[in-house]
Amino acid sequence: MGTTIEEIRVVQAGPHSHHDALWLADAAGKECLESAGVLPTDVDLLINAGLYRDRILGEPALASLVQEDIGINPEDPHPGGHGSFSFDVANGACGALTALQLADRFLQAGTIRKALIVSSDADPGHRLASSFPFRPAGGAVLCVHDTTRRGLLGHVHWTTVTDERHAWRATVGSDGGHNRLHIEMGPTFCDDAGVAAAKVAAEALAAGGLTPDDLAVVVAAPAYPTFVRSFTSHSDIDPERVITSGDERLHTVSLVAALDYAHANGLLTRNGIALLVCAGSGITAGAALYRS
Amino acid sequence: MGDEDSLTLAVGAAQDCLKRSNCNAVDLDVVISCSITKYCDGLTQWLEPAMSIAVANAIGATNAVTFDVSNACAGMLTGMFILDNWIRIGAIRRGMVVSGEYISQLGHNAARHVHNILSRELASLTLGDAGAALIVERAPAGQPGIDFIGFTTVADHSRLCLAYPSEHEPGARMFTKARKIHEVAIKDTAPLLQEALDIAGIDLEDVDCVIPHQTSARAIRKGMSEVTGALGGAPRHEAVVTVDRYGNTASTTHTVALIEELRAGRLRAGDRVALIALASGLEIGVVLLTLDEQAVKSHGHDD
Repeated sequence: MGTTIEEIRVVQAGPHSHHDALWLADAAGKECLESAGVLPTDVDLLINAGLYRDRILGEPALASLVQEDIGINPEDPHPGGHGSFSFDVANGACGALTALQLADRFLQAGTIRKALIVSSDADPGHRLASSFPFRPAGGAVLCVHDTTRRGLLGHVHWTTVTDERHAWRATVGSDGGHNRLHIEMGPTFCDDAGVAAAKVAAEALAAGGLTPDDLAVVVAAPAYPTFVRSFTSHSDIDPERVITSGDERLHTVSLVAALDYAHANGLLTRNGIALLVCAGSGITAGAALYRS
Repeated sequence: MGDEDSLTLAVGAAQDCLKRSNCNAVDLDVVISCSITKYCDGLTQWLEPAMSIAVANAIGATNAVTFDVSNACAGMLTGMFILDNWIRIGAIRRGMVVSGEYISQLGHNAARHVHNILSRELASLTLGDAGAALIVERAPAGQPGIDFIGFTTVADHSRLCLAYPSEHEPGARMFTKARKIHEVAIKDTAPLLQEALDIAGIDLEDVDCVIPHQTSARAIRKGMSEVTGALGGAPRHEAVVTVDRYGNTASTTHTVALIEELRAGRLRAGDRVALIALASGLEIGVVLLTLDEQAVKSHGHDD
């Protein structure tokens, strides 16, 4: 028994549109539920894993705004009503995997029956960023508990390698009398992130009693080619089995987009086992096995 | 502004929490940071990496999984909800929830813009700084602990309080429709608290101490009066108020108040405590817990 992904959706802003992160999360969430044939009122838990939103809103959780916009039981408690809960997680580009782990454990406990994970990044506007490096996009994943042998297998494996050289940092600080968003990625980040990802991938495979040959596909994020090369060169995984979103400018949506690509192209084959692996600032890397 | 920032407050609280506990940092399976403010080196707000990594490194929690939760002033209790869930399903043995709120600077910004009592930045003037940490671990069978945790987001009111970096000053600003948020929080708390008590199989009279979120003493007393009226009973003691001394310390208020009650000797082993989260979102959460000997001993009396 495990947590299965019932539906995935990714929404990208058009070249001339100026959609903010909330709009993108709303759109991805709505499309995901509609495509799955699930009513918003059936969602018990909503987790947002995106980081870069309009104005870099600090409170409330962006998830609560998405919950209201999508109509996930937003109303005051009333007899016969069904409340829902929403909050944000922040774990760099690994946020979606953290959210998947959180949803999985609430589903395992029977506390909830359906969880919606959303993630989006966009230029925060208001002159906060002189140049925003990530492509505006939103992603959504609908998770349910499955009583068969499908879904997430075992734990999500994590590692953190802290070293100033990696220097992936994003901050908002005063600059010339205005708050500005600063994002910097150290020159060795992709190489070191690949090493960290290889380590957790090996741990996940060992815990599942599997070898790389048992994997149908490896779904990886981010999509930087240097990261993927480092990851595969430090593991026994065939580079041909690794798929990404193909868009290295996606940030917290990258893993969701890679899953969407794998799903849309039939790479999550029936009973096949996928390895989900991601790495982000910290350096934090996570890996989990998923049976389709 | 002093020498502290969100990270130093969080690390200080985490170290103190470990010192008073019976576990070592390496025994922590998870560290969750829940601060709204993530200021380091002055008023530089940290977006990534997760602040929990820095806290875990500072205290030596080398085996801990780390991530941040953001849920306004309900952050720490949301972290507690997550750890309670992970422990109950056997995924971990213990974890730490930590927060450092260096948030009083919002009051400095607000002071430049508040011109009358109708200002939406009035609530920023009561904010206070604090660090808080708590360790949640598996209790031996039959021992007291967390009886119930439940959260509801009443998202129709999600836009009643918004905070974000200021455009023209360092730090941030917060805009609150205070009257409306208090009104709906009071109205919605009664049925959700009743639901929590029903699930736990107890009445409000069985609760020794209620610790609500600390926005204002007047709002707490008015709110508790309406809640007890609606539920037809009252807890053994009046609701705890700390906002008059520490201000609204955001996500840390419940932990700050709980520790103060323990240190003052007003709580004893076996006492049942209700922590009520009321936060932007609108997040309403109820934590019902029964204190054990260790929680009481670790903080003891100040005298």
